[in-house]
Amino acid sequence: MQITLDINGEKKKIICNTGATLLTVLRKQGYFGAKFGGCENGECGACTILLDGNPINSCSILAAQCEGHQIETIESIGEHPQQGWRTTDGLHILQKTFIEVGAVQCGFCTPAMVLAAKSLLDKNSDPSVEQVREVLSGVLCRCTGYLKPVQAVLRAAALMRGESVPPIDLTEQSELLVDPSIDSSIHDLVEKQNHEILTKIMPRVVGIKDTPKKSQIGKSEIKVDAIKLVQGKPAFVSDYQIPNMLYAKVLFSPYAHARIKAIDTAKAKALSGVAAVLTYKDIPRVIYSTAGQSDPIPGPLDSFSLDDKVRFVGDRVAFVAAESPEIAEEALKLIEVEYEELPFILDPAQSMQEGAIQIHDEKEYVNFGETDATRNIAGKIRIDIGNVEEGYQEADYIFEEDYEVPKVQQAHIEPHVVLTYWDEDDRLVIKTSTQVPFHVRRILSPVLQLPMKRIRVIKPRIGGGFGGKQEVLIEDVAAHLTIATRRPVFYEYSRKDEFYSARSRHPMRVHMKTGVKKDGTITANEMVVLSDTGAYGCHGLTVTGNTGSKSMALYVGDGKYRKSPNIRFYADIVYTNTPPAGAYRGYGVPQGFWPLERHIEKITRELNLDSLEFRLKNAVRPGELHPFSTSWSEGREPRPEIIHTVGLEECVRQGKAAIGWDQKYKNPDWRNVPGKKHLKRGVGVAMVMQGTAIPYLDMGGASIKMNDDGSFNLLIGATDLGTGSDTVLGQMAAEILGVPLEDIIVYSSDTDFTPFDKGAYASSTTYISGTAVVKAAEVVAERIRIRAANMLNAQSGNNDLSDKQIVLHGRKAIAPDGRFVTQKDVGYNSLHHTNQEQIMGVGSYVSPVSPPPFAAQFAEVEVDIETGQIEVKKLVMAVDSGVIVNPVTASGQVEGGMIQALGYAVCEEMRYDSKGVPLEKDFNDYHIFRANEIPEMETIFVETYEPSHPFGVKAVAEIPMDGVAPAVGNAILDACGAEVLKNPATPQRIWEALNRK
Amino acid sequence: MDKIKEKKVIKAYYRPQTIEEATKLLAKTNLEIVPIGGGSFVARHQENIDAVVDLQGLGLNRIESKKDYFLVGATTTLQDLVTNHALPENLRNAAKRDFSYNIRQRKTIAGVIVEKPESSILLLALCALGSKIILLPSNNELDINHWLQSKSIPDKGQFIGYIKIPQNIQFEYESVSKTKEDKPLIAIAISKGQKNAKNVLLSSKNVIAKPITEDEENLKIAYSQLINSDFSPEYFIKTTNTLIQRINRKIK
Repeated sequence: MQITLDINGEKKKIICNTGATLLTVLRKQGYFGAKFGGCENGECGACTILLDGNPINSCSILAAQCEGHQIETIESIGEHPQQGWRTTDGLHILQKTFIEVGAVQCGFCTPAMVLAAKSLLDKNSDPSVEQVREVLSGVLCRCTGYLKPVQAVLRAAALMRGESVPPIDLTEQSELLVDPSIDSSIHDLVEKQNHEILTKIMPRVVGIKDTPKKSQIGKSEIKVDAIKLVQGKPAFVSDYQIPNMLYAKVLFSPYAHARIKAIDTAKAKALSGVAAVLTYKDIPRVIYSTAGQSDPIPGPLDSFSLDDKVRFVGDRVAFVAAESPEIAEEALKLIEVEYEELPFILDPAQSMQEGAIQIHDEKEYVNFGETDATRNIAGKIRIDIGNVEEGYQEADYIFEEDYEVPKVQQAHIEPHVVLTYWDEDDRLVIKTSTQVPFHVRRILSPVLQLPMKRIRVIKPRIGGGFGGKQEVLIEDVAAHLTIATRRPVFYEYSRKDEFYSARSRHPMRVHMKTGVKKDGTITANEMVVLSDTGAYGCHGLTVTGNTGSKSMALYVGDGKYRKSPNIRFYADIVYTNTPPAGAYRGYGVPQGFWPLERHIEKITRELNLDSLEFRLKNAVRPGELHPFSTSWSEGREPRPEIIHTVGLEECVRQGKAAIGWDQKYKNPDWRNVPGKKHLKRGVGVAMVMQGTAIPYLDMGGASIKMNDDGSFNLLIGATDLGTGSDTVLGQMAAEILGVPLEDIIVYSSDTDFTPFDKGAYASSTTYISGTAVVKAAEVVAERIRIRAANMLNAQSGNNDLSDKQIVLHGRKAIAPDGRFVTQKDVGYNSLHHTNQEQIMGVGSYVSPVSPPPFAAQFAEVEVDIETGQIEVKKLVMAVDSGVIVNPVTASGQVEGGMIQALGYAVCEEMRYDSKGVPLEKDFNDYHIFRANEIPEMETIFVETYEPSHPFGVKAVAEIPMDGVAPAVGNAILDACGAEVLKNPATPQRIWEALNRK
Repeated sequence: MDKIKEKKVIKAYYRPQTIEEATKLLAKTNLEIVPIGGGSFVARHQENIDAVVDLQGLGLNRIESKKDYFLVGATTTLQDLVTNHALPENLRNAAKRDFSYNIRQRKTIAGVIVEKPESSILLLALCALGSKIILLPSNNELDINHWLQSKSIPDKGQFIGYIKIPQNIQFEYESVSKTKEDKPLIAIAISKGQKNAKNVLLSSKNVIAKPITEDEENLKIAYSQLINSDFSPEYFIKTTNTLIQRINRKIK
């Protein structure tokens, strides 16, 4: 049919299918700002546009319905201020404030939030916080935790009203603002903090005294990719369209465990518009692991692209490529499969039982370490540090308890998505939303039977990953179909596919046993884990290893136990017939801290010890050996490692003041809510640590090239999945090269052009890739200084100036006497005038250590003791992540991480029915937090200087996931005495715990 | 083989300007033809639909206060309900609870009635208030509770025109959920009419506005009708009673 749509004030005649949604039509017309989040009923809101001024989901309206109405897309409201000779109004004020306050992370939902906010401000120039939260609540964001988007809208509103707003101080580092000893000021303090949260953009940074001032490090620069993302530019995989492109779909297994006895694709192939149907009979049988890790993969090889056996509901049966997604979908229905149903295992406790069905009986199975497919064991860990039994004998008390953590999903708003095609040189191009482009290339080479050099992997912007895209999950599907059809193939998961077939956090059952002396000294600590890896072993060993090695390293004990702690960590990682688990932000550590910190709280209460003092007394301290460094290194050879920086004490001091600990904890007066007998308040804490990269293994690389005008191309293999790592790495280069960040053009990642990098995982980018950037920048800086010295010597006619005397600062190469040449002079000189050369540097880095960040996380809750319903009122995180390169982007990581972790604490859980069918299949069933329900949050950075990094940094991205759930669990205990042993703390679990009291 | 592809595609879109015109279109017996308001459901679920009749041109998006009832047009959006201060606050809050802000801009009251979303607080509220569905063009009135429980659909050519919501009925609801915005695990509404007769209704997963009484046996039966419930029968019975007591205290 032909329709006329008024898009951004322009009447457009469009021919489309009658049933076409507005989203489909807009994207075909080139309006890529509206994104598709894979949802079925508009739950995510990424496709928001304005219809007659109101935000609506363009995926949930027929284009035909929009005739006669005004459509407004992100493309109409603002643009980059520099458009050559054409004058422009630049960005919309909302776009500017979103960028300024750090409200843009992955950027996938940013255009939607900007438009929703615009609809509000167009009608109401002075909205309340609640109104802003409400209007943003139609758009799901998994990155930001919504705090910064709310701040951006309020700031824009003030500017639009003509008011002056406080500047975002880009360089100020605030010192200690709160004196925790002043108990009486708590109510004022809370009020002040509430106010600050709405208006203050910079997080609190407790800096290191007497550190030299840097020009870039510690400066909240705007993100280098923010301007394009806030405009909704076509930056994501699904924004790329190629002529002659086919659409892929996968037939998923309806059974938890079955053998394919027969499969007939004739009818599907005969359907008009179907280009290919592939089954296990059509492609090479190559065993591999989908885990995106360095070589050798520390886990079993147990996966095929397609197999004659299916191992979970949602496992792959066949691939289809067709002219449209609808035809591909229809073709799936025409594939006739005869299954032989097999017994299946859903409960991990049954996996190792005698007589249990063997899930992996394929002859190609490749063991790693102590895997034993005959017993459904995907991994086994036995670590004894010191002498645990002796430690128990020395203890006055022994505490034991069982805990459980659920399977949860990363829920990045951009689903898994890939586009493959043969380029003009017959090389296979894989454009994919991945955290690990180089691992994708390496792992797929044998699977596709293509030499690695004939594969090019390009990573555009990523709409969130959180570990879910540290998996070679769907790239092979499109690639096989491109090989089969010779045509470009696009494949994108729906939200349902994500819940049925993508990876998730490993669920675990954990037994804790701890020996404690009367004085509160821990004499022995033991964690025994049963980890459910699902149907495949991807990441099972390393995730579970982290569960113990990162969490159980925190409490070594006091006195003689500091030098010789007694720690035991045993784990069995077992197969079940459920969707495989994998990498998820925190990588096993949140699973460790729920039982550990719940258990520690139990001990402090039963022994009537001070909760914070008990923890600090037993916690690891600077200069001590990382207790696991001699016994575990993600399945590789461990080497001893000293922990140099531990900011825990200051984190506790700051965090307890921010939450009002001394006034609230165990305080019966405060606990009661006036006028509401059924409500009880409580506060809780969890101390946590994480790691920073994987020592001796993961490598980051960078190259820097100088241009004529004194700008630089920074090419990195590291993958910014919305975290701001491109920006932070750019800042490091700018610091060394003495230029502003705007002179660094950052590009990531393309296996043909950017240096190798292991990818974005293990909290390693700022630390590992950052050091590589610094090394590359130092090479370039040296060449600039040499050339600048020569230029200045030539100018003066003397030869007395050495390159060692030259300082790079403010786009200049400056001699001690103040003479200088600009970097532009150097650029022109090097490329056009004298002894021409390309000034360029390459750097790479592997770390011998993994310095842990530390944090104290606090939660305040209100519990309805009659129904078990809980409301989390406030979250505080005081974190030692070393030196903070960019406080605004770093605080965005903490806020977003806390809200993700809050889902783990109270509502997120993936469950299966008795046949292994997922009960959660969309964001209606699987609730993730919306803007209008987030608690108050506060982030405090307690800086330490990590000596192993050129700028003293440690990791920040993963640690926020670790402590929220146990802090909430401990706060529930404080509020009403309910000991919830299994998270999430749902109303029923709290109610049951109350009844157990 | 192309038949399959054709089956998936809506072939015709109509936007009538009068009720008569709409009726005539919907009466076409040779087509699977459905009326749409906001279109939010049909846009994503087009299986077996040949044509759609968009009701946006009929002026059915108004809320009128009559002597003892509100007359709400079928294409009134949930956001219109939320922002209309003439409506009772409880009803406005109920309209806000089921769907997020963006979806409320398009989702219509009739759309919710037809779609019957799980755990809907709005449907619970409409039932508690004893609302009626008015079909056009016949102007036949149907009890909404009967509609929801019997899974009835209008005769060919008929469509929902208005919802009639009685005024002067006292009504309160309470619910329990994992978070403030997550869908309710259990929701209870109680209304009290002019004869002081109390009406207690339950909504939960796959149960919409089911009349219940407070006795344990009745609640056990109600529990047994829940599929894949997120809670135990003990929790359900205890919490349901708690919510009923809380509402009773408010309603007194």
